[in-house]
Amino acid sequence: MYTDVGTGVNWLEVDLNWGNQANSLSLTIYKPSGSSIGTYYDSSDGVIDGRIHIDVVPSQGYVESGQWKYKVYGVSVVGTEDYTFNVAQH
Amino acid sequence: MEYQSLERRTTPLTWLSIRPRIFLLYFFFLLSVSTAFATEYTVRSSQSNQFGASVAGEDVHEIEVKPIPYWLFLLLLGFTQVTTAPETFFPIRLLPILGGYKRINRSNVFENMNREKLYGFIKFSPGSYFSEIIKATGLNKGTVEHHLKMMKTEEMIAAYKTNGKLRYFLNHSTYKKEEQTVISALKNDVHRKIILEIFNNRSINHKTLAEKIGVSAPTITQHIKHLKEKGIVKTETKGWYTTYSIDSNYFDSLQKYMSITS
Repeated sequence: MYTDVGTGVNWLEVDLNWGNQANSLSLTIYKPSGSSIGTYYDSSDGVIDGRIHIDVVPSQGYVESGQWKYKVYGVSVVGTEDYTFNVAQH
Repeated sequence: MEYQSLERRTTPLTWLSIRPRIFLLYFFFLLSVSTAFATEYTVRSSQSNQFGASVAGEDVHEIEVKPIPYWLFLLLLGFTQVTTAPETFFPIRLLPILGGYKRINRSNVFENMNREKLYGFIKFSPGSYFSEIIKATGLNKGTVEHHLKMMKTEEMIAAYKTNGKLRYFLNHSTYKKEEQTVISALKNDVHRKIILEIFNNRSINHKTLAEKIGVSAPTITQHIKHLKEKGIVKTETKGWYTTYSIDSNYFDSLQKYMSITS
């Protein structure tokens, strides 16, 4: 999946929600340059609740504009797992 | 006169041998400049529990999430590797051909089929120990010992001792310390059951844990002692009850490798 991020964005809000703690998903986020900023798990937002709800904040200035890409991976899934994925720019 | 003609012949040769080096230096310089100015990012838990909510009155716009064909994703990923990792663009073993910069003494490591087999096995079964490797690869003890030692010397693999067993992983940069600890623990049947039981229950007391695992309370004590020493499990005592939970430092590694079995 990818999103087109505009200019003057202070941070990105990324929300991957599958709601089932028994299954484990991971989310990898790629900058427009193509390099990854990291892989995140259910616990990455401090709560284990079947959801990864995080803010991506630049160390300085604004978030790079361009195509941000996302990879959702089923780390440990029994059967299939549905999820919703949303991104907002602040 | 003799000196002049000699000079004329040698100058182009020297230039030819230096030119690839200048090109490479220029390439790495450009690469370092581009990375020096790259924006770093940190990740924090979202400021609002509700998606898309304004935190301090700022404008919020939901962005359309578009699907990307998987084959294209892989292609883009491959392109990224080319642009960000010089060693991928110029496989390190080809560098001597380009300018004679670095002669890699481990370039012949995979010329031996047994070594390649061992490396492949460790790659797909991280945390395997010596006798397990022998059994799985069908190689004899001396051969395995020899090649493991050689790959350790070349820093292609790393050994990590836990619970009296030396477990092998690909080199140090492949797995973080927490990941090595978690993988090693998950390779032990009882430890795996204990860890997953605690993880799934968030917190569990000693008696319940022993019942669920199906072993005696003193046996659980022994195993918990080991997992506590490794830092994976932490305990909390309230009155008569001791409860166990997973240390938050190991959450990520555990989720990543929980499907590993012995």
